[in-house]
Amino acid sequence: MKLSDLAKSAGQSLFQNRSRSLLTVLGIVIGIAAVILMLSIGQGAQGLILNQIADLGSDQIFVESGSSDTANGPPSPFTEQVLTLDDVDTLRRRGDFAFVGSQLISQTTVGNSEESLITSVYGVDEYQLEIFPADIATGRYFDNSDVEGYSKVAVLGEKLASELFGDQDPIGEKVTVKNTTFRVIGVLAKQGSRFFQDLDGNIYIPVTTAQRDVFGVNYVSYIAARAKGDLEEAKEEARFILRDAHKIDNPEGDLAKDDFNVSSQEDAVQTIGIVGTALSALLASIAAISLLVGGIGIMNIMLVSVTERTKEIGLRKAIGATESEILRQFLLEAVLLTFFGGLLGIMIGVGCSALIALVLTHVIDGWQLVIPPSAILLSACVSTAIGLTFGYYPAKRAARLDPIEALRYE
Amino acid sequence: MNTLIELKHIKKDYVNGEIITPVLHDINLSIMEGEFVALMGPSGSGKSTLMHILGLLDTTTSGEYLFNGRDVAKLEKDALAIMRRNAVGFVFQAFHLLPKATVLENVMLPLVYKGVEGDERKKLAEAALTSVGLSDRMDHLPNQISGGQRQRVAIARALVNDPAVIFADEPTGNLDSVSSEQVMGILKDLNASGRTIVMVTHEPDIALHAKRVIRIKDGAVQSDTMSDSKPPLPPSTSSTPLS
Repeated sequence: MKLSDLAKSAGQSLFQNRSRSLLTVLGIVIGIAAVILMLSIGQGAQGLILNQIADLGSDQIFVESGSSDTANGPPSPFTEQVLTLDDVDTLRRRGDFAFVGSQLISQTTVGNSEESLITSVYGVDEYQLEIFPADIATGRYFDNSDVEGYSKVAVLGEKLASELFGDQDPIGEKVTVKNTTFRVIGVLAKQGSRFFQDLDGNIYIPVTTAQRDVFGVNYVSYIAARAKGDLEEAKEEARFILRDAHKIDNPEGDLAKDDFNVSSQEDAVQTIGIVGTALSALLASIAAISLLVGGIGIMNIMLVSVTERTKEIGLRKAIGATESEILRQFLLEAVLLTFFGGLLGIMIGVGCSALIALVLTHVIDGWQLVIPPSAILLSACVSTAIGLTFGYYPAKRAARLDPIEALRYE
Repeated sequence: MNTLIELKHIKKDYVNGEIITPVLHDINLSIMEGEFVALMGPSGSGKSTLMHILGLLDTTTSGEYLFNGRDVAKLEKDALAIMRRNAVGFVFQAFHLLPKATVLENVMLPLVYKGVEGDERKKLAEAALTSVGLSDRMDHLPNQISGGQRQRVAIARALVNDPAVIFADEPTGNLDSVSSEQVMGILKDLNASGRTIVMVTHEPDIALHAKRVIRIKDGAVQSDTMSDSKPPLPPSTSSTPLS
């Protein structure tokens, strides 16, 4: 029997039972569509984050409280805050960094006579914009005297400015942060979001004022710096200086002994890579299970089909079909079924990814539709392999039927 | 005339676990090219098993089976399948047409396995259908035609690969008398043009159409008689049942 006849016969048989074929293959369709969709969203998110990191520059160093053990987990409210403005000064004096800046970040109420809302308050110093570049839309940014002099001045994010003041020029106006009144001296240009955080709703005040007058603390949330030369050397230098300042005896450089953690964007990139891999593995195992279930469905229906068509098989054998011809016919039916199921799944997956990307581009700046070609190729191969695997047993059963008994089957 | 089929000391046992049921004992039989043989016998006599062995669908327990001079008793399943597609045609009591394929597609099916090209396949199938008087039903589905027409389609299918012999297993068993006569007429016409036909039946009036009647009882040949060589009546004039 020629291959073209085989394909035609298998295709006809599937088409004659098209609604059943479609239902049978639904498990594969959904499984493959989910794989494509998850891979697309995962890669889109990863690409977005990596792009934002690249925009930010790769020479930033971050120092946080807590040893490296706790720093790799989620931020804990129980971590003792050990970083102070003295540490910032020490790093500036003794280290060889391009810039060192302090950040005290907290959420609190911000308002004026008309509006009041809760947003992120950033206590920063004059180096903030050197480390995290942003444009100033109107007014000015902090200078050294604002920080040294505990000035009650504030710079607003673009969205916050319009929420509090609408079309009115906010420069010179008053805003209240918690219970302290500040004078607005500048507004930042629109920045969008970074790492899924909206930056345009923030308010920035001098870190000194934030510590003493607003929050009543003497720590900073983290210290950010830009390295001049090699990033790893700069990180090691920061560790060395801070161990000395915090009187930690740690000559062997065991990171678990430190009460702080130094990281860089590169670490973040690595972490994202690890998270991405773990996520992919998770998605792959979910997909594998759904495809396994789909495959068992295929096997079940193929067995039903073989039983239903016992007489047909008997006739085909009587008029001269060999065992291998019957085997190939049923195997090809299973493979065609899963292959087209896979194609349909790919189309649905790509369609849904495009639809989601269309929505996300409006919500998240810089989201791009990513459809990995490898995922499409893999899906096509996997769906074909499922047909071969789960179609083999029913096909073998069909091939082994005795023609006399098969013709007598009622 | 050549000997087409020769059985020597054929035995067939059915084995089910430890129980061995003998079905055929020591069958010796020759069928010449161009014969029209009716195998008769009560149910359980072994006539169907004999026909399955003759039709290369079943294997023997012991004995020698020469088909066209070739020993086929010990052939593998696939070799038997290839012999069936080239040298044998079947007509079954229950027609066994594929319900979702057209009449033409049903008749083309044996040629698909034989590896005949598409155009040639269609030409041969159309010729076979024309020879059974169904050239105007080619695009119909089996459930759109009568039982007698279905059996004629089955005959066309048995005929299309130009077999050395056609085996008909109770070909009129599911048909009314008018259709039965039509079908028998076609089989007789085929035989008259030289085709060997072996038919299983338990209806004596149908067996009368054959030139030779072999009666099987309890797995052995009971009698083997040539019928009177009276001229066959054309199907259209045989208005009364013959028995």
